[in-house]
Amino acid sequence: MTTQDTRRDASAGPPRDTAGDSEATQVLSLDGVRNLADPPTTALPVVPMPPTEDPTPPTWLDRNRPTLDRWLSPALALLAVAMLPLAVATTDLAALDGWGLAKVLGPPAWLALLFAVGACVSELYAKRPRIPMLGAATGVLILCSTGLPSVIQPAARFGTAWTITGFVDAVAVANGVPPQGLDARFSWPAFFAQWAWFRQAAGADDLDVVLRWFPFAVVTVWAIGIYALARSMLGGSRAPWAAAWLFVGLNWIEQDYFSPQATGICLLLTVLTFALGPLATRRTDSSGVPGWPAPHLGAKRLPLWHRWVVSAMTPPNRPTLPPRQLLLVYFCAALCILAVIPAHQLTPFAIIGQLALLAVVGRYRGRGLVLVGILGVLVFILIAARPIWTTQIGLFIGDGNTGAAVEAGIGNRLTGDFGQQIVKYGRFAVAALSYGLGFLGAIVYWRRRRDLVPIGLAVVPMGFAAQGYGGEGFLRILLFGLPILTILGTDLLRWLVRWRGWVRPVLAVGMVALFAMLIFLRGGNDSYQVVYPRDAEMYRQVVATTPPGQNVMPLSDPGPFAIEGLTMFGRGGGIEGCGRIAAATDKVGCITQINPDVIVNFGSIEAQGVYLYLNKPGWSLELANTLVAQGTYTMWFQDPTDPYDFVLRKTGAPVIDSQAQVNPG
Amino acid sequence: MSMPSAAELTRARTARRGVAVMLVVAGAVACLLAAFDVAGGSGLRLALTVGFLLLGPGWAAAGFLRRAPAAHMWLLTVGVGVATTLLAAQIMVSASWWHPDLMTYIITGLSVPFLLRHAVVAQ
Repeated sequence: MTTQDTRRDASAGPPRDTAGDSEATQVLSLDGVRNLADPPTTALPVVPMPPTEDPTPPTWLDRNRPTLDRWLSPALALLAVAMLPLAVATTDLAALDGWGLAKVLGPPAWLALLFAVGACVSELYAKRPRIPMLGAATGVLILCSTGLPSVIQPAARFGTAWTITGFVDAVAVANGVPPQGLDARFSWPAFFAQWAWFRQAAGADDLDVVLRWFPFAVVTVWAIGIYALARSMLGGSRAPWAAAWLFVGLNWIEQDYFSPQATGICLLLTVLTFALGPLATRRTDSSGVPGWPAPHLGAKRLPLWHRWVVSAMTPPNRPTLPPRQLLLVYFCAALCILAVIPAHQLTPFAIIGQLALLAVVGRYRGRGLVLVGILGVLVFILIAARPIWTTQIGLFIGDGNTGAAVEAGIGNRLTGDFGQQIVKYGRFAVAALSYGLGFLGAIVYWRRRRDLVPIGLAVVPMGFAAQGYGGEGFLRILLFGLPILTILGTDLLRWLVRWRGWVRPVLAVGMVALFAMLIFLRGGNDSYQVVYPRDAEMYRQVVATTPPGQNVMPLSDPGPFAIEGLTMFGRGGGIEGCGRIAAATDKVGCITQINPDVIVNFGSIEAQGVYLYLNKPGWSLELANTLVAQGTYTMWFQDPTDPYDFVLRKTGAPVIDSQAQVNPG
Repeated sequence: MSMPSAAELTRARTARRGVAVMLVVAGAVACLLAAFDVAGGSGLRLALTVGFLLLGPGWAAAGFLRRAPAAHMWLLTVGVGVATTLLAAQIMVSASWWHPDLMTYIITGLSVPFLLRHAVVAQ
């Protein structure tokens, strides 16, 4: 606001002291005539501030705020990392039971988590949050939560991850020819071929190290994706970080092990981030008003259907990127969509579904990406993978039996001892919390931006519920929807913080509780998901000493089974009720019917039998002793440090001299 | 959202140049190790090879993004790197042409010129 008349001839307004005012603004030409069209600006009298009475002395926090803002977060992050070696030393993995990892963690592990959360929160509440520091604190947070098992356990957990490394090995030893008829997942071989290529190009014998650190690495990439997506959807400098942390905290789903779907989510987030970011458009006019403007002030609003029609017929506006940049982003997004098609069976449909929804409502430039995705899927199914068309089409269209899918996805998972049941109900509770936050956040988002499209993006993957994918189908639904749900949930939290300031410390405490819950839920199965290097070594010895063509069978799923020699050995099976010996009621009868040449057991299988299938402790060793006593099998190997790590061979079965055998991997 | 200052942009450009140079070195070393079949006992060769193949092609593409936030840069880098290697692996499988070393050289040969360009002219 102009408060002084700087014109030399000003006659109106308060008098000015011009004596000695050589530096006053000079006006060149006004001809000494008062300009009625442009009267001089009136200077407002300065109202002095009332004298403040006894100003409140600054608190310790106010005085030290700059120092705290600068050093607290790095110090806490370093403390968190420093706690990790102590956490390794104080965690007793031998004491794992149905309550999982959380019960056996030492205090340093929990302190590491506390410090990591503190590092994030202190930087977020700083007056000027530093992006590099927030990024580093987020990395430490992921390492101390999702990555904690990778730090504490001596090898990659999760038997499925080891199975997939067996798939990679099978592709590598066959010189890029995926085995046929062995597993449906080989119909989408790109991920296995990719890592077989990496392994051979790097001259590595195995990928054990990659397996171990893969969850940490992939969740870090996901967190980057959520941050980038939230920047576009929420704006601001703090909320996107909170969205990334909320995503990490709610992601108990454990689909981040070494697997095609983990990679697929990276590609999905890349496409979605660029569709809702640099490519984003709205169906608005050039001034940003959706639909036709009202004909006059106070005019009656058009009917809803009329507004929809107008909105649908309004062409989306153009992104602000230059054409070459747009072309680059299109190309990269198309590359990501095409790449995920031969790698995973479900992710392409999630991407295409979400992009189709965005295209219908005109939210991004480049609707041809949907066409690229559909054509890519069709070409892959019809030409590149003709066997899928004839044998695996049920995976796409499902059997329509949603009830069976619900039973497989939810009902069949609520088994195990008390600790296991608490863990599993906890997972459902956190899933419900995710959806609750997401839907409430959608209401806030709607009130702020009149936009319901984001919640639609989270709902699109629910179409997989009708698809007969099996027990993991519901995990995928949650995982594909979780990025959007957490971003909407963050909008809700931001609204709460703006509404009531005291919510901030509550949310900080809630963040600690959420991440503690994450460790409890993710590690809930660790009694039978933990893997030791000696387990992998034992199985590799079995591969090296067993003649091809024999049936090699584990007593259940956990453990590093089939990490090599996938195509060399049979696994028996096909007997009703004997899919997993650990869960069978007549274990000896099942083994008699299957008649395997080699039986492999790990400590994790024993634990699964005890805590999940409620067998009595020592059941696997008792079974082995029974088989040995019958004279049908001999104890070929038993680990001296873990008696449940053993290998039984059929009496009289041939064994190869492992020294003379070349490692098949 | 505030615009980045000139100093911040300069720092970002310097960092991008540094990443491009490191990836060029990683790619060259990975190819040399593969060519001479140096044993990767310490995991260094695996780390270099996987790191370059997952990030090199991606950075070659993402380096052309102008004034993009670091998160967009890195996400596009990982996305394009993963996508390129997945497609290259699928091509090797579908064409029954399995040459891991040769494909590594091809990917490096295609990426390094762009990476060198980004090392000189950061956006």
